[in-house]
Parts: sequence; structure tokens; C-alpha cells
Amino acid sequence: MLMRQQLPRVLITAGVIVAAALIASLILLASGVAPAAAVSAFWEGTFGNSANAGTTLTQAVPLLLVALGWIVATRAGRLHVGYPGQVIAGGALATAIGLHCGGLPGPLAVLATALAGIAGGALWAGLTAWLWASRGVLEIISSLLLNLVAVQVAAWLVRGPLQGSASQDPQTDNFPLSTIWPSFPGVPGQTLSYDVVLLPICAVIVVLLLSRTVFGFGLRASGGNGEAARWSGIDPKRGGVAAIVISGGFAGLAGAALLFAGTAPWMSDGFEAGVGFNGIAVALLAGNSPIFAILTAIVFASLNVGGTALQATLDVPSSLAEVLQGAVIVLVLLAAVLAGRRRGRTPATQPAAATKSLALVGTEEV
Amino acid sequence: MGIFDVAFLVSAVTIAAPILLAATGELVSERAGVLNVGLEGVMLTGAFGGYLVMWGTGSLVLGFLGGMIAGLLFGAIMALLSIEAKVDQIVSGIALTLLGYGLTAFLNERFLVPSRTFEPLPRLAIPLLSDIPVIGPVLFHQDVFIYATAILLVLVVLALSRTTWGINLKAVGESPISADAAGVGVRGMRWAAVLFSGLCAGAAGAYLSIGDVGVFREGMTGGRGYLAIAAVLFGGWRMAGLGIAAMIFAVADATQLRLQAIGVIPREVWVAATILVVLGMVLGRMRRGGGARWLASGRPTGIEVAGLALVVVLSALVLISPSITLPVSLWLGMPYLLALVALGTEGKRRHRAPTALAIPYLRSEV
Repeated sequence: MLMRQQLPRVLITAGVIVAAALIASLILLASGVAPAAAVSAFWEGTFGNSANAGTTLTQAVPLLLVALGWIVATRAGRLHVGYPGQVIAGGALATAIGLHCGGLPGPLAVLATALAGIAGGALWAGLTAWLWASRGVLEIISSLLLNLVAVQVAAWLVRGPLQGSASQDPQTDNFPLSTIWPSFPGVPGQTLSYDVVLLPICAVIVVLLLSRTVFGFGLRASGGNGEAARWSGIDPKRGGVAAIVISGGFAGLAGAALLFAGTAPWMSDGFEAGVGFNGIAVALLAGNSPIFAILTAIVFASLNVGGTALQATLDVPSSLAEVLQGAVIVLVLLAAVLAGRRRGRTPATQPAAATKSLALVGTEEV
Repeated sequence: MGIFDVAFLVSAVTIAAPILLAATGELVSERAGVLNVGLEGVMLTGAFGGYLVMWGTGSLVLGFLGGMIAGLLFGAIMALLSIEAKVDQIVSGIALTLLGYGLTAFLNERFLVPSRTFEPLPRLAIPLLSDIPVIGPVLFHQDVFIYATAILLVLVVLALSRTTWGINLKAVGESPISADAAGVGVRGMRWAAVLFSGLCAGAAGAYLSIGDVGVFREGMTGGRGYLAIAAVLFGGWRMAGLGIAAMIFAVADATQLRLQAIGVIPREVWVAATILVVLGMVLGRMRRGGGARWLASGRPTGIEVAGLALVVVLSALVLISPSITLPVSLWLGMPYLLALVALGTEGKRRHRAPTALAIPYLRSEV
């Protein structure tokens, strides 16, 4: 039963990946690089040896966390796009706390940074939620603007209050050793952080939260039909606010993971590196399924890691990865429509329901 | 002497023009019921398209044409996704933004080396009018793009309010099913509106790259597309409101540019801020109260109490005039913060959004 439901989704994803590969080889040919050489360089850079595979898997973690945030918010009908800002806010707060946790024993220090990350992201998302719930500002616009503010605040932090004493560079001091999230000792280069356990754990938590709890039911009800939710005693505003704050918590944890399980043990102003928006793409590619998003997060992480490898070995600009990520979303959207049409039902019913509350007053079109 | 001189106003107009043009396009598209959140990506593509053609041909006219065509192409993708495929408009907007960022960065890095810098658009003085003190140099000694934007704004206002086409367009955004029944082609109207917004955003982007700065840089639109969307919202989907919003953002941006250079905040900034807050509160009261008793009516709201507190603080700052310096990055965040405050304090909307905004139209076909 489950397999039969998942099969079309798997087919769509496979089709999208094939189409994206075609586009990639066309771009590579146009810029004078043999696709075969590119493929071998890409494979070598992503999964060719255990060190690189560790990097790829570790980079998938923040992507999945953001994707899970998007899934929770979308289920409650709140399509905000404040993830980059929340990742930055979470990372910044985790840094501020982490720099002072040198004295704590390892597990406590790691926990403190993770919690600080969650708190930072949730607080930043709280601004969007408050503006939406009590001031009636569209969450998509306020979150976009807050992203831009967060970028500037981070730029100020690493040049001001959090700037390291060691050098004039716009970055913080190195994090205390005890706060660095531990990594598997077996992998050369220590590239595989233990936080990959978050991949399955968080995905399962979100699945259970949405499908098995009263709270999750409330979220889905407020995203489905606000009127119906209100009649059954569920406040859609409360559901929306909770969903936005939870998604901010996930994004903030992603920010902490980027810094404390990343390659460099300090914070600089570009640490977000597009994770916020790419996480949305990960969720879309997975059709908003938390479990499936694990796979697509790994695919997106390999695009990033592989793009860097291509730049190093074949001198292809690493922004090729961004082109492909954008193209993947467009392809996913089109593929979903095609699949829906084949099954003979209108594909737009779900998104229409999700955005209805956005249009302030929704009318049914038949 | 002071910072609010003629040169300041000239720079404010130069900043306002592209935001205003992109926002006008967005307004038309939103009045037809399509929310184009990908405006930032479209603008960036326009900036790149203009630079690309200019890089190849060296002709400013062809360059602008290139920017407009690039914008048109991205507009077509948006239309295809939102009108034909009926995908969620926010999601397709995110896709456009990511694609725009990736594609322009990749192509710029790979194909357009070495980069070239061009002369910005020449300024043309309109005889007689440009001799008027203050107004002359600010409004009548500008470049062709700013004149063209002004003419286009007037044309759009006339088209929306005085022509059948404009009324049909607004009908499509309010109630597509009624418009359809009355014989207005919903698809055609929406396509035209989205393509128009692409054209405007493309031209605005081209002005940023080849018209104003003279070179293309990765992500150079820096959130102006988002500001344009915010201006439409803040302006209550009306042209006049949109103009006021764009002006506020542009003055904030020009102020921060000035203050970056000066460093210490001069007394006149505090004076101007105080006047602005008082003016905003009085206007807010007039709007709500209506009639002559507007000053005496009603108890103060929470926002007004906060506003009064702000006035007290600002007046104190005027008197003391402390030598405060703000770091550059915080200044850079100021226009976005102001946009957020403006959206948040606006309170109850006088104008509501087009009813069918962001809802795909499903025609019941037999």
C-alpha cells in the first residue's frame, strides 16, 4: 500500500534528476567541459571516498532541518520564506553562547549550542509570526525583509561585538573545543559529524508530530480550512503562529549545525551559504514528505559538494550547482502538474487551499 | 552643508526610480491576481541581461532592450508556472529567485571575463524647467530612464482607471469567474499582466547594472525586488500609496548612504525622524477617525503609545545631539527595517488585497 503511494513520487523524482542531468551536461558542453570528465570528478568529490562522503552527509543535515521546518509550516498553511534569516539568527545566538561555554563538559556544551540555535531561530521567526497574527502583515513579505535585516546584523556582529581578537578578519574567535559537535573517529579527516543521526530522528519526529498528535492535527486543520478548524474549536491563528515558530526552531538548529559541525570552527558573515532557500527546494523535491526529504537533502548536498569539486578540478564555476538547484525546482513543479494531469485530477487543489488564507478573503472557484 | 541637500534628493530619486518601476509592474500583475514573489530574481536577470548585451555590443539602447527581454523571459516562466501549470505562486516565485541568482552568477563568472565597466546613462537637462531652484536639478536634470519611468507611471494609472482593459484587468484579479462569464479572457489578461511585470522588472534591473553603476555584480539587486513587493503591499494596491512607499524607502536608503560617509549622526537626522513619526501618527489618526474630531476621538492605541515614547526619545536626542556612530552594516539594514515597521504599524488596511490574489483560476470545462 505504502509502496503504491510512493511509486509515482519516486518516478517523478527520478525523472527530474534525469532532466536536471541533461541540463547540466548541456551547460557543461556549452562551456567546453566533457560531461564524462565532469561526472567522474563529481562522483570522486561527493561519494568517491569516505572523507568526501562524510562531508556530503554532514552537509545534508542543515538542508533537511530547514526542509522539515518548511514542511511543518506548509502543513499549517503558512508559506513563509524566512529560513535564511532564521538560520543566521540561530547560528549567531549559538555562537554567542558557544563562545562562553568553553568551561562546560562536552555534552552539556554541545547541548547548549544546539538549544541556543533553536531559540535564536524561533525568536527570529517569532517576529514574522507576530507581524502576521496581530498586525496582519503577509508572512512572506515580512520574512523576506527580515532575511535582509538578518544578513546585515550578522555582518555587523562579526565586525563588532563578536569579532575575534586574533585577527582583523570579519570572523569570530575559534569555538572552544568542547562545543564542537563530535564526529565519527573512523572517517578520515573527521568529516562525518555525529549530527547525521538527526537525519532520521528529526524526520520521524515530524512525521509522528503531524500524523499522531493532537497538536499536529490542529496544525493541519488550521492549514486546511480555517473556517472548519474554527468550528471544531481550533484557533487557526494559534496553529499558524506555532508552525512558524517551530519552523524557525528547525532553521535555527540548522544554523547551529552549519557552524558547530561545519568545516570551519568560527562564524563569518557568509556562513548561511544559501541553505535557507535550498532547504525549501529539498522539501519541494520530496513532495513535502519528511522521510523522502532525507534522500533529497543528500542529493542537494551532493550538488553543493560536487559543484565545489568541479570548480577545483575542472575550473567550472561552482555556481553551476545553484543553476541546477533552481532548475530542479522548476522541473519538480512542472512534473507534479504533469503527474496530476495524468491521474485526471486537478493538481492545484492543494496549493490553492494552502494559499487561500493568504489572499485575506478567499473565494471558491469551481 | 547639511546632509539633506540637493545632491541627497537627486540620489533619492535615482534610488526610487527602479524600485518604482518594478513595483508598478508588480502592481499590475497583482491586480490581475498573480503574486510574483520572484521579482528579485527577475530584476537580477534583467540586470544581467542588460550587462550581457552591453558587454557584447557596447550599445546602451541594445543593452536596455536585452535587460527587458531577459525580464520578459523570466516573466514568461512565471506565467507558465502560475497560470498554465497552476502551481502555487509563492513556490514558483522562490524557484525564479533561486534560478535568477544561480544563472546570472554562473554565466557572469564563466563567460563574461574580464568584466567591463560602462559609463552610466547621461543626464539630460530639460530646458527652462531645469533652471528652477531645487526642483529643477532634482526632477528635470535626470537620465532618460527616470523620465521614461515617470511617463510609464502616468500611462499605467490612466490605463488602470480609464480604459476598459484596465477595468477588465482588475475584474480578473477580484473575481475571475465573473470576469470569465462576462467574456473577459482570464488567461490572456493574466499572461499580459505577468509579462508586463517581467518587462518592468527587467528594465529596472538593467538600469541598476548598466544605467546607474555601469557593471554587473553577483546578487547586485540586493533586495530591491523585495522592497518593490513591500511597496505594493504598503501602498494598499493603489498607485498613490505605492509612490509614497517607494519614496520612503528611497529616502531611507539615500540617508543611510550619506550617513555611511559622514559617520556621526548629525542633529538634523533626529529632527527629521521626530517630524516623520509625529506626521505618521497624525495621519494614522486622521485615517481612522475621519471627520473633524479626529484629534480628540478615541483612546490611544498601543502603537500610538509606542509612537509617543519614540517621539520623546527622539526629541531628547535632538536636544542632546550625542555623537553616535552606527556601523555600516546596520545602516544597510535600515531601509528593510523601515519597510517592516511601515507594514507593521499600518494597522487596519484601508484597501484590501485583490480577492483572487495568489489563487490560480480553474476554469470548469465541460
